[in-house]
Amino acid sequence: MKSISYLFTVFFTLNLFASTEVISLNDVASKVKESNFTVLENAQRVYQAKETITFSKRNLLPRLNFWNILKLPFDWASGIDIVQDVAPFLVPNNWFRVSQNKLFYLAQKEQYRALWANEVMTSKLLFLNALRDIDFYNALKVQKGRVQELVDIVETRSVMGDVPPQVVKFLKIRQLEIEEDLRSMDALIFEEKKAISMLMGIEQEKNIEFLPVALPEVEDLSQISFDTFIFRALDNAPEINQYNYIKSSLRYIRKEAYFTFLGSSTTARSSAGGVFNSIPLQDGLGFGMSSTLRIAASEGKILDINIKATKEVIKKNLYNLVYSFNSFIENIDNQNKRLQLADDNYNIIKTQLVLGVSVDPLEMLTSIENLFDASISLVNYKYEVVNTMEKLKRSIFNGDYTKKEGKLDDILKGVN
Amino acid sequence: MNKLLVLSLLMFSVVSCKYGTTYGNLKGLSHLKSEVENVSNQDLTTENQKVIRTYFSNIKNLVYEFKNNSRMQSYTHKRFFKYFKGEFCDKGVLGIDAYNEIMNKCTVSGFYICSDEVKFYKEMLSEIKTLFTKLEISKIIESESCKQKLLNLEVINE
Repeated sequence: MKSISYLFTVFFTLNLFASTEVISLNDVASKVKESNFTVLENAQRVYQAKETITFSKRNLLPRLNFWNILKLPFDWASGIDIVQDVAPFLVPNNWFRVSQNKLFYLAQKEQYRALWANEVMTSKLLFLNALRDIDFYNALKVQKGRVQELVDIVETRSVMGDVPPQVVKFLKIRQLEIEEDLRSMDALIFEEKKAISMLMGIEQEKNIEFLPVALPEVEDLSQISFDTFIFRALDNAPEINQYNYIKSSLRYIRKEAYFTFLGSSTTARSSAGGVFNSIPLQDGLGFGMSSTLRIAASEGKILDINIKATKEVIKKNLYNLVYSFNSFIENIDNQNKRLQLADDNYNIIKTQLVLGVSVDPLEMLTSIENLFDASISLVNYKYEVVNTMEKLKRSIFNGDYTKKEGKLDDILKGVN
Repeated sequence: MNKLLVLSLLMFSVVSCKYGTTYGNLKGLSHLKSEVENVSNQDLTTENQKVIRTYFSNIKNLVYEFKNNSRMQSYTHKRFFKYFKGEFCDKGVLGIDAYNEIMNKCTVSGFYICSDEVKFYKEMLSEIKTLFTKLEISKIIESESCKQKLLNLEVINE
């Protein structure tokens, strides 16, 4: 009977471990890349965009349309209609659609790259936030212990009449507040774990645990400059590349307008649909062509405005990142000193209390809280530095965010 | 019927014009390469980054065009021995010394700050090599300096 219960315990323990996944910061990036739902969906869109190129190429080859052939004996003039079926390659607009779809595919790839990087960054930042909250939770537990210690001392002194009873009550209220903080912190960490599971494509039934990260020695880091990073941030931005590809495809709309007298293309523009569909194209040469060209030019201007706006957003974000990173480095001594002073203060008062010196319990509580605030602030500071570095890496596509631009990716497929 | 003929001719001329641009870019590489060599021993300012990016992006665009256009490939193969000049390699391909000099400046405080095209230069050249026949490759490396350059860039082996 004993061995059966032993076996049952082993089985139960193994089962518990099997449903818990331990995750490191590196796992977050790789898991998001392969199982994030939004990333997976967008990868399918890229695949569709690529297939659309093949479709538009094949649409240049002859095809069989039974009804058009049937029409021919009754209406010889309709023979011209079957040019689209028998020789669609003679319709220039079909060729333009192939070229357009190639550019839309590259634009779609850039959109995917931006989304992919954002999802990786969101997940990594959430992971870091959760780790920070776990550290806060542990610090809060230490704080609880310290307050408990104080309550015990004050209760003894209250019995002897050294401390008025309302002080004991006040401290106990504070103790209960800490209990409540611990509870809400625990709930927050639970929520964060579930959110990370979602972003990483892990089933919600599974428990996840986090491996801590090594926090940087901020004192050893050196200041960075905006000028160093801005080139790469703009050069590699998928948001800008995407607009550039779409803008390049605009020239084919103008060509389409010129060649509509040779027939319109039946191939859709991009798999996502809707790109430039608002530009009216006449079926045949007419007086509307000049309007089409002007609308196309206006679309070009809209894209230019979007490119400029995106560049400014990137610059604004980079300025802020560099500024906060440098300010963290400048102020780290301040944070270290604050913790040191708070720790000294706490130890002095604690020693006095041990030696039987009459210390105001509320002064003791203040010193405990100062120490807690200073230690939390330093931990928070270090996580903020990690977060800023993470955002910096995202803005210049370094580290886990390394993903080649569309054309380069196509060229080097299978190389790395 | 005549219309069809005119249309086909129109289509072919459009196609040749397109190749004309690509081949024009190929010729333009020598000028861009000397600009890159000039800035390779200077500080990596934004302006210099742009000069470097232009050269390497042109290489990327050429490789992309060539790799994704089978007609252009067969067009090139047909005329390769007639038009290929050995000096292109010297004039258009950036050597390992200047390349290494640039790459050394591209990493600042552990961050890579240049274009990706710079990082993958050797890989791009290796990739385009696969699109040429053995005979064409041997013609390319007939020139000793070109052979040495491609060996140093690890595009070809001994």
